[in-house]
Amino acid sequence: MRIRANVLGILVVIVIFGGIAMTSVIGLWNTTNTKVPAQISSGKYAGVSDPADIRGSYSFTDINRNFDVSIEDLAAAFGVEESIAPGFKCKDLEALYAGMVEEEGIEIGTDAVRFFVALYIEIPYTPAESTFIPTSAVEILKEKGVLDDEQLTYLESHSLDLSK
Amino acid sequence: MVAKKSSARKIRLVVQIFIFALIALITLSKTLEETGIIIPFLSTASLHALCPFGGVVSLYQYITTGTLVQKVHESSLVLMYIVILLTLAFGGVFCGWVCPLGSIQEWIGKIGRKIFKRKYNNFVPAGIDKYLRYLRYGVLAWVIYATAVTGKLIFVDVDPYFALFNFWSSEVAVAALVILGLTLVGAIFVERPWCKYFCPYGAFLGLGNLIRVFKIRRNNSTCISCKACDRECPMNIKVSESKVVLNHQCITCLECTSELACPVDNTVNLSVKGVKM
Repeated sequence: MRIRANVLGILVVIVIFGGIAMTSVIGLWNTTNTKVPAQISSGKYAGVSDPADIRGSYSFTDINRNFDVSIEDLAAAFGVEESIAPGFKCKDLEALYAGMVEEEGIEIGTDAVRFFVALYIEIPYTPAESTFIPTSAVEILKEKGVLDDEQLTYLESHSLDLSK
Repeated sequence: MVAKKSSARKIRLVVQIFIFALIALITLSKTLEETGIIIPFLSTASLHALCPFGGVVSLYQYITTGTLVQKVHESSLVLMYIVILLTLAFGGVFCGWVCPLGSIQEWIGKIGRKIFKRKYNNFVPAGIDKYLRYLRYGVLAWVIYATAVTGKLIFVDVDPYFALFNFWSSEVAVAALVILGLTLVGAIFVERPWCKYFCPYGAFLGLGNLIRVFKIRRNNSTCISCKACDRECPMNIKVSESKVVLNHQCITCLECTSELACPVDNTVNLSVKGVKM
């Protein structure tokens, strides 16, 4: 049995788009994130939503829903106006701080949110060396009394005052 | 006969252009959506959601934790299964007919073919070339390992496919842009240089050529040994030296077949043995 070019071309298109159509009908074709983070699978925190799985596409509302961190605290921590905070996405932090963070090797973005949330709900998380959080975020964590001495020392060298 | 050959070549070009344009439009749609402009009837999926390789690199994490690597979505897994199905049937047909990065290299290669004539696609000495062809398996191993360890889409920082459709975006790493540039310039001298030497997804799919149902077969009794098939093969496979092409680099483009390069009817075909229709 021989397959000619025109038949192969048609088969390729049918299989790809037919497959997409079929999986769309049964609900398997998802091109966006479900906004439900993975859970920690073992140890003391097993079953808890993992801050490490926060994606850049998560809005502050998604984080509030999954981690019980208030939108007001997130907005105050990262200097986001309260009016736009509910829909504000983590990945937009980089653009927000693009002109303010001038030192090389410093990033305030999605990983900063992961770090802040992890500290807020007292789950261990190791951020990237380049990840910084604003001092306003540190103040909120201090007020909540969730930081130990080691974390306070680390944050002294990994926080930035963006109000100046 | 000439008209038939021309239409056989056109059908692949039409599929390639259609897929390329569709991916470009969806990327544009995604970009415009972020500025509040919606293009009707067009998906706003991210490029990661439409890449079957995302499914492959996510497999380890998916099996061990039930989650996907960051930026990868369920649609990548669906596409991965669809492409595996196509590969088991027809070998590297995704590379030859669908992959937009392969298509653009091929189109740029037409300029090289015009400039260098028969020297085109023969610049790399065969002795070195045969070892370089396995480099992509090293890239595949690195990508799978690094993704499994970090849980991040590490490859995106060097991925020329992502750079091709997002070159204006700040999301694209400089390294990916440089690799894209080198790939496109390289395509003037060597046909599909990225596919041949570096593509990890091509490496993965290439393994399917060993077990595919429909294979490129050469009829020894009617072959006139003109080697037209060898000359036309973009991947430099010596079709004339084997009865069945099992080469891991075959992209099932059908350029070697009796529909295109081979001057003798029914001598080189994509077929399955023993089944008559």
